[in-house]
Amino acid sequence: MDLEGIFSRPEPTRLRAFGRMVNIVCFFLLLLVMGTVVYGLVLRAEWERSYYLAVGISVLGVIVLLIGLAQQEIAARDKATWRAMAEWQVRATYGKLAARWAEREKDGKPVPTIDSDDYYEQLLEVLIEDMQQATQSSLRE
Amino acid sequence: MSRHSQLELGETWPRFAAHWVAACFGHFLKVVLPLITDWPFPLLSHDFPRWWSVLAFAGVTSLLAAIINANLPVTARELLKSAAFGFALNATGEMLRLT
Repeated sequence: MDLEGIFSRPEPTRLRAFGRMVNIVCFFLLLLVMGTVVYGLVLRAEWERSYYLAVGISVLGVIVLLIGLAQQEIAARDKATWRAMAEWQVRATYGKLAARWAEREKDGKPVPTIDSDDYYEQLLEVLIEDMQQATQSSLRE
Repeated sequence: MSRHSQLELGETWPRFAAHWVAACFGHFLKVVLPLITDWPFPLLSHDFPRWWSVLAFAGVTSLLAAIINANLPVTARELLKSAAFGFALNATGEMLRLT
């Protein structure tokens, strides 16, 4: 069974690496824009004291934007962790199913393919068994 | 599959706010760049705009940028586009002598 084929993971290509590089460059350009604005306001503040308030507001804006960006990054990472856990579970299920079907094949029974009627039935059976085992073991603890 | 839901399009208020702030930064960039290019002789003239009037103008024009870009994800790339939008809106306002 093609376990890796279950999950469509994009292939690392040169174009994707380039996109990542552009992301990083854009981040630094954004920092440059915000830094330039703050610096320019500080320059003006030396001649007009009231501009210090504008400096404060702009620094606040920088903080807000950086926190927003960081929060997105953290949420994406959390999601990737959950995804990895779910993938691990599904992979384990498919492994068990493959072992079960190998035994059945030894007995001479036909192995279901993805097109046969009971393919998903058996897949769900193994998943539910796994869940029941996990619940029972956690209850015992 | 919503694997990259934080990268998908769709209007949300946090996105609107982030792009609004970014557009304001772009707007202010157009205002303060002359100060930096003229260093060490920053603009001393009294007709340099008051900061609150600039902020009010930036806030109002950036609303347009924020409304248009509100469906873009909050990434450095998209925020840079919003900043460029704010810069362009300020340039437009200057050409129309709205400031």
